[in-house]
Amino acid sequence: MLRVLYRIIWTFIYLLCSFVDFVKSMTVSLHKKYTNYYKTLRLEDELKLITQAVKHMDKTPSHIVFVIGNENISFRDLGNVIVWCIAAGVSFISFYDFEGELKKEEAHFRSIVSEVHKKYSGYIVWGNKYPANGVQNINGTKNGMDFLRKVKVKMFSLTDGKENIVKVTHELCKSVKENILNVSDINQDVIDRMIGVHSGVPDPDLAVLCGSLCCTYGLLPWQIRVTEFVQVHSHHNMSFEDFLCVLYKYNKCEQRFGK
Amino acid sequence: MSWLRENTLNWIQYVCLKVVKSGGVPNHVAFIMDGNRRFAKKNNVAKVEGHTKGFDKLAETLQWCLDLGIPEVTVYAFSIENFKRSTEEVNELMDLARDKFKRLLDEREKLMDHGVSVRVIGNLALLPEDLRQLMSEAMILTKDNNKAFLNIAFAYTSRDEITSAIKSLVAGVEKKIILPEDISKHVISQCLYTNKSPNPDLLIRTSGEIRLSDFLLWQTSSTCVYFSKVLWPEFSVWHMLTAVFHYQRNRQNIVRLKNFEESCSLESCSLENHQVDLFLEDLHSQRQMFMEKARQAKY
Repeated sequence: MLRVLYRIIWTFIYLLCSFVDFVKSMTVSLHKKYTNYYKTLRLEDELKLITQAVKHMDKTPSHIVFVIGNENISFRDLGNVIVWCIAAGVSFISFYDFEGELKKEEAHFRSIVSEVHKKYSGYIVWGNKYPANGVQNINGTKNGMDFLRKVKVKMFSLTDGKENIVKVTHELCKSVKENILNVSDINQDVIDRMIGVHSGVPDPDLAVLCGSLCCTYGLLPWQIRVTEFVQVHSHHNMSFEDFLCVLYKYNKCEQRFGK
Repeated sequence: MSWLRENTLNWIQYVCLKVVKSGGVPNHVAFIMDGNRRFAKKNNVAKVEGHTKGFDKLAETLQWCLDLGIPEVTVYAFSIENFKRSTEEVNELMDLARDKFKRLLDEREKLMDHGVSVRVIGNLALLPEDLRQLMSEAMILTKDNNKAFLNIAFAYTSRDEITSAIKSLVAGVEKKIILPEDISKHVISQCLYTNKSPNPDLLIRTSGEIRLSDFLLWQTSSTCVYFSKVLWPEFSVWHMLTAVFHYQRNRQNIVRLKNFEESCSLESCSLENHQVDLFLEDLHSQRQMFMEKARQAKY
């Protein structure tokens, strides 16, 4: 009897919370539509503001990964993110969705970005064209935007996580068989280097989780040891203020590395 | 302070706990108990005092989990990275662990009554011999208990765990016990220290940090993560209930994610493989032997 009563109370609270969340998200999206409509800043101004803001931060991520959780992908919004990252001086930007939709649609994504942000496509290096350890920042001078640097963009899915660790194990088996390596030589550094070659990116400094669930979604398990996780409500209609807010949150994180 | 405590909740907390419990609870909750030293600093007491308070909080939290009906808990007690701290602090932490494991063995009757199985996960070879002995003793004593499971990550990092799994697999291939093509995600999972546990449904990290710090990286691919600002010694039943409710509200998404991941591994997972089973049996009995040896060590 009492149990039924508890369950009724629980259901009531559950529904109440869902209702409050619904109202909240409606207000946010209405507010976003309104502010987008009366948008006064041009993209160039936004980029300048981001560059200014980043100058006053103690640290900015060199590798950001955007994790698309339980929501549909909006390539247009992700395209904006790339351009903001260029302004923030980010060297690597990765996009992850566990089902592999982004990897499948990469060509489509590219065409949208080059159409909407024609001016900046020279600053974007897509896919596997760069070496794993080549964390070079090349200063661009086109369009008078000489404060901008190139960003490398890559897509990941669930299969790049644990599967890569399996692949590395297979390779190690081969090396041992061919007497290139002893089993006792296998250590974290060896594995780390091999994982780095497979993923082609350094460990992410910041993961931006888009959606209501805070979860790694199977993102590159070997490489997220010290990655900071910041959650945003959604990547749809994400504004550059939202983006700056994420960078500010990252700026506040202090790493102690176990000490 | 004891491991298993009497109920400390007042009636209103108790009712709320019952309400949350009625909504279905996670099967396995993991904790990163962070903030003991900041708590000590805030209250102007010695670091070790903060760690002691942290342990007391763990005992209290375990009781809440039992009350909620959560059968399995994994806690991050000591990371391999923590060996980098000052010798003084590391020694204090080892002393605290010795003390608590002795206590746990003193309370063996209570532990057996509750049917609690204690497992220490981590690279035990890095620990002082006497502590390893106490831990092995506790693990062997409680290994057949199956009402509740407490996994204590000590001298643990996820990368170290994965490395050790890979090493034993490569060694197995070298000795021709298994074939390289037998190695899959599923087999690696079976080689981890956590092979007996289901993956956690909920991970709670306290003290406002928003990273995983090398804890269960492999096992948390479909885990609901809850970051709480509170320092671990100040963690209350309200925080616990909020975290579980947070999990309940995200349950549908987690289930979807889990199903997707399982459907992926089914494709790549070969059917029953006798050789792999033999290899795993061998690996697990080696670990068992290591524990037996540690328990009987004289020093």
